[in-house]
Amino acid sequence: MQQVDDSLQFIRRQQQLRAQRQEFVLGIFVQGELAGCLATHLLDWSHRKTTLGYWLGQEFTKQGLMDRCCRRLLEYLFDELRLHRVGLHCATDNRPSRRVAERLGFCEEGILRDHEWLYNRFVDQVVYRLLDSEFPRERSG
Amino acid sequence: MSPFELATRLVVTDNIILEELQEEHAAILFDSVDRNRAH
Repeated sequence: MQQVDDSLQFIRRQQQLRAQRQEFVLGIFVQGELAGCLATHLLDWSHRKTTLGYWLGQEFTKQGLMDRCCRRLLEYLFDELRLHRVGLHCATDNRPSRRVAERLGFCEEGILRDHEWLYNRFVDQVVYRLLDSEFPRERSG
Repeated sequence: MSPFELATRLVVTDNIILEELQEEHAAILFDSVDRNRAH
């Protein structure tokens, strides 16, 4: 995003997509302060699947915050929305995002060559998946 | 809740909440999160 207006347009667009049940974004609020976002891209109700996206402000990294938030969202997606599969794409050199995915139990499925234009160049993306049956739920009690 | 009603708020801990973004969040989203995006 290049300017505040882009962020505003993003929020408005997400509100439309939420109303259409196509995807949704949740802000991550830490003690009331916006720290990042979690998003589902294209909720496919017929095939009970979606893909996950996340990003975090620099100052909120290295605290395990994204792991906890993703785990809560995954519980919601699998246990309440009854989805079967959650996918995740991230740049192959985005080690922080990949570590989050791997700690959550996502399995690597392959590499998409030159799949995204980022930082003035094409970058490869790694594809992960997590099935309902593969999600490591925390035991309570 | 119907499976087609999407949550607007999920509680992670007492101090960490996942909540639907509103237009009033645009400036802070840009300044603190998108411009300084870590991953």
